[in-house]
Amino acid sequence: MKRVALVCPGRGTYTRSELGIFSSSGLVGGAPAAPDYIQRADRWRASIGRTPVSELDSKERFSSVHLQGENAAALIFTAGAVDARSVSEDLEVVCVCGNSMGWYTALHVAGVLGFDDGLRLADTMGGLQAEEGVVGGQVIVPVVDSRWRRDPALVSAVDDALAEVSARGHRAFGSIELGGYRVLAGDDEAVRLLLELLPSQRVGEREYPFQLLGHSAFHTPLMERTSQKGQGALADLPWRAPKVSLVDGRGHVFRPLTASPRELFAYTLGHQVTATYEFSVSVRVALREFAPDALVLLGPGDTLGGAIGMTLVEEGWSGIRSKEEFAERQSSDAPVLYAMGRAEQRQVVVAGGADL
Amino acid sequence: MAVDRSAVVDQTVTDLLEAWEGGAVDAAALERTVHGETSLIGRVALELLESQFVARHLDLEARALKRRDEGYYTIGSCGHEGNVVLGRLLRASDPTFLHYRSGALMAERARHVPGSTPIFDVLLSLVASSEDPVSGGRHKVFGSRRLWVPPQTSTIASHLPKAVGCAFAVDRREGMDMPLEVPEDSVVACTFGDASVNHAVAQGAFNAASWTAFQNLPLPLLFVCEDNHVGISVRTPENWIFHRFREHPSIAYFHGDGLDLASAWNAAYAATEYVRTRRRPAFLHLEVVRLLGHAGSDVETEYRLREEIEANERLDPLLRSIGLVLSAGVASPAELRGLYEEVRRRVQAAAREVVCRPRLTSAAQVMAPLAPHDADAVAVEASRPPDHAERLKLFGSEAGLPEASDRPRHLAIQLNRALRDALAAHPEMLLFGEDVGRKGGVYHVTTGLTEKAGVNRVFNTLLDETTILGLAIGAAHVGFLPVPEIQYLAYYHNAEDQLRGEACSLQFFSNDQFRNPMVVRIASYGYQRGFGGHFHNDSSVAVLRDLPGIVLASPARPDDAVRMLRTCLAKAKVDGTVVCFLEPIALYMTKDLHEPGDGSWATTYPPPGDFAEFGKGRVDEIEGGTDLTIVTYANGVYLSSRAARTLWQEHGVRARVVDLLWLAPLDEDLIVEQARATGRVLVVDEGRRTAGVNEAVCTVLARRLHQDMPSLDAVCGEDTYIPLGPAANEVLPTEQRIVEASLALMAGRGGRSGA
Repeated sequence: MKRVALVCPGRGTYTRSELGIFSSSGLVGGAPAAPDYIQRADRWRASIGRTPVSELDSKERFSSVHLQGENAAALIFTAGAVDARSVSEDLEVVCVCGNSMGWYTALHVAGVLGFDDGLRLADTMGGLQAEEGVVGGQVIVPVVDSRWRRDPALVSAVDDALAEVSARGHRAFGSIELGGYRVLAGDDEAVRLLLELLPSQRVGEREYPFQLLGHSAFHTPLMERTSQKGQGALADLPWRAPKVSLVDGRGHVFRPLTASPRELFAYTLGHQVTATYEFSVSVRVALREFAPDALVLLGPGDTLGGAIGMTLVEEGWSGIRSKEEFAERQSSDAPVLYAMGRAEQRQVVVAGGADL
Repeated sequence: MAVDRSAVVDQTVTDLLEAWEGGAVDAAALERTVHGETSLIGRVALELLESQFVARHLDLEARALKRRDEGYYTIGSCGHEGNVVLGRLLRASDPTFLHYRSGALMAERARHVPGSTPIFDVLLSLVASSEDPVSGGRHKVFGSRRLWVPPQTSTIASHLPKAVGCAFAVDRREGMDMPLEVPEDSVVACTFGDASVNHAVAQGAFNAASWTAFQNLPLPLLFVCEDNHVGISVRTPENWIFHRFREHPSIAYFHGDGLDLASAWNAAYAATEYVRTRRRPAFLHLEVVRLLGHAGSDVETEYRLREEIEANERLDPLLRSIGLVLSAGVASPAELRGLYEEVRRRVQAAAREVVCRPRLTSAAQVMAPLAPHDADAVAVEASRPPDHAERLKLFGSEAGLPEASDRPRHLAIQLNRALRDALAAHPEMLLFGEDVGRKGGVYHVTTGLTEKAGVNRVFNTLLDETTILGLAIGAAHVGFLPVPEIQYLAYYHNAEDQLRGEACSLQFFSNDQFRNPMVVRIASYGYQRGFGGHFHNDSSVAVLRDLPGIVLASPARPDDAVRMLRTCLAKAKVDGTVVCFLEPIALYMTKDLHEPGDGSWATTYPPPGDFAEFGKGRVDEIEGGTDLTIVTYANGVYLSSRAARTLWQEHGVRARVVDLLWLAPLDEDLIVEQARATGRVLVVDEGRRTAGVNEAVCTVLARRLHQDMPSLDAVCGEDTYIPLGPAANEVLPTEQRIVEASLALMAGRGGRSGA
């Protein structure tokens, strides 16, 4: 049986191109597990007075509505949950990890929370942001060159910028370790300064650094209030040990037989909210300690694929040591990463078996 | 065909899980103790068992890799998995020195630090991949910078003295202005087997710990003896460890059944708490069993009956742990079966990945961490002047500062001053050894230092060179800059492995992630006018010169000594280097060179900031020095300088005297350049002819100069021990022999002539 690790994407992965994936002809809507989950999500959303996910998904145009915390979280969580259910039973899922908000999806996918409870968690935490308004912001900056090779000069430039902003009395932190990117976060003035101080760099089509629109300073101490409110609002969630190993944003592994529900709660609504999310470390641990045959990136979209690819290159996983080797491997008949947001790769994951 | 015992041991675990009956799983069992006589709760017991499974499957895979010719190490942890409790009970910041059966301990310790990858790390090490995060492919060894486990490659408990030293240092910082690299309430732990307990070096460590604690000095050290009752094929007498250690003076004894998780937990818990809170040493005796032989290559049936081997296998601690967890209702047999097989699949899958990982492919790669050298940083550090207020404290007053007088002084006094300045410049420096305290050393080099710097920084040790060097190594691990003194070079020899096997190998086997910088001062060489005999006149630097990565400094003149000491301390601090600083005893008090009262061997004190360039020798030319090059060091410099004057005044020969100053690394370029300058080379080496410095110099010339080989000869110490009385001069270079050999070279006789 082929062994796979599932990766759940976070905020910013439901984009213009994902519009319509919940319809019966869309990637998610076409999945056998889809109708039930989407209806349940719609019912839950309606019960708390929020727009159902299928309505959001079927809007004619992508807009800022889709990016708002209380909407984006539900869309992404639901898409990920359906995708996880669609993974062939011929594949052995050896572990699950997520990026940022994708951690909530991962909790559900690994069996810590049922669909409804997981959705409530994702939706509540997304909604808290709306309640609090946007607090500070996030800036993304690469620390690799255009060929995905780590550039020590960029790494120190980023560290220097963070130090400089702190020295000027503003609050700035590392927010997410994202493959060859670092997401930094801080208060409004810190974000302004970071954009000014960080070196400009072009990777692919994009010019960096830039601010992630509508994002608060996630995974920093600035989220302390959100953390406290979340702990209050979600104290009654029925946390269980996962059914499959779950790698968190520190690289800690919650194991099925021994994980403590109390620790899952404490991490999810504490450290996870207020301290750096080390996505690269979680992928590294998933690779090294579980050695899957392939990684499966759940939907929506496939934008996290680049960060995963960079981590694979940094790890030299399966002989992949450069962007070119990663691309070559991905275009072969045995990719190391399957994105369920891509129809042809999704098909392989759904079919399972020897094709993978 | 021989039975594959690893398959048998593996199958027995599976069989037990298949056959187990009864015992309902109870969700509450995770949170309650596994039985009434322990504080070990179900959840922790299950995690410990999981780490034991990890260790077991890594051992099984190590043998599979070896069979496929993809792995290089099969000494395993089978039967020792009870040490897992220490992985849990010690903190990841407690300095821990482990022997080679620590798989379960390490797997469990990794839980303390999220992001650790214990399975993959061990596998990389087994296949000697350059990506092995511990040694970079240089040895299969348990270690981790993040988990504060410096790698140990010792097989005979030679890591115990450093553990004593580290524990001593952890509580030694009081009143010192320096950061400690570990929390102040740290415990230091070291593990070893029952057979290596008998080694002299281990006995010395137990004695040193005892000696320290007996005086109520703090020593938070946990000795852990994993007693499997056999050393390769030699049985340990029944109850020997218990008998030997239950009443060791000042070391508390704790006993646990390492085959039983709850018993091991209770004992380890009590022992670690005792050490942490009382700051006194303890000896934890964990009785275990050795399964699958000493190593994969060890055929146990050659010295054990099959029935004995099978009886041992029935003691497999995994069987006991499984029984404990199942009986307590923590998990079901099916769940444990699933876990055991899941770990197996993970280990096997990861092994398929690591065999493709890169290996070391050149000597340069292998040697990269051996002797790092940052010349600029060393220069900056060596020239950094000490704090003035500290200097005043160390020298007593402005008038006491050495620059207050320009009177030339001899070596012992100038070294004393240099050490005062060093103590002022390096707040983390410790100076210790036999008699260095109130007595001020045999030759008064450390006079007054204890009084000025305080007994915490300058202190006497017990009379055991292994302990002295172990203390230096251990203290250096946690941030101190040790300057141990070995009273005579001959005394070093009994402790040699502390530098050879331990200190000098640390950067190499940790890929430069751990360092133990130190400057070992050794009173050295002969020429003590017949006094002292061979133990006080030893000059065998050969034993030091072949240590990989070591730096050997060997000054002769007082001013060189001061400048070089500054460089040595900087070199240790910046590059982590182990430096031996060889002080010529016979020149300690020497003031005159040519005539009584001429005072020309004494020098003024080089001001702070003045330092010697690392690795560079010095040249003194007599009248241009165009005829003959004398290459020498230490007392040879003194004798050759006198001989050079005689050669000029009485024979008209213009000689130049090259003082090597650094015996490792040798200043090869200088040797070649100076040989070329005259075409005649006389090497004066007070060390023995065989394997001495003279051989190295001659080799450099032969290798580098080929057709331009100079006329060459050497005046050396004979291949003998130094006798008592005037006969000593018969076997050492003398001024007269240097003159004679020089004249012979000038006349085209001696050595290879023809230049």
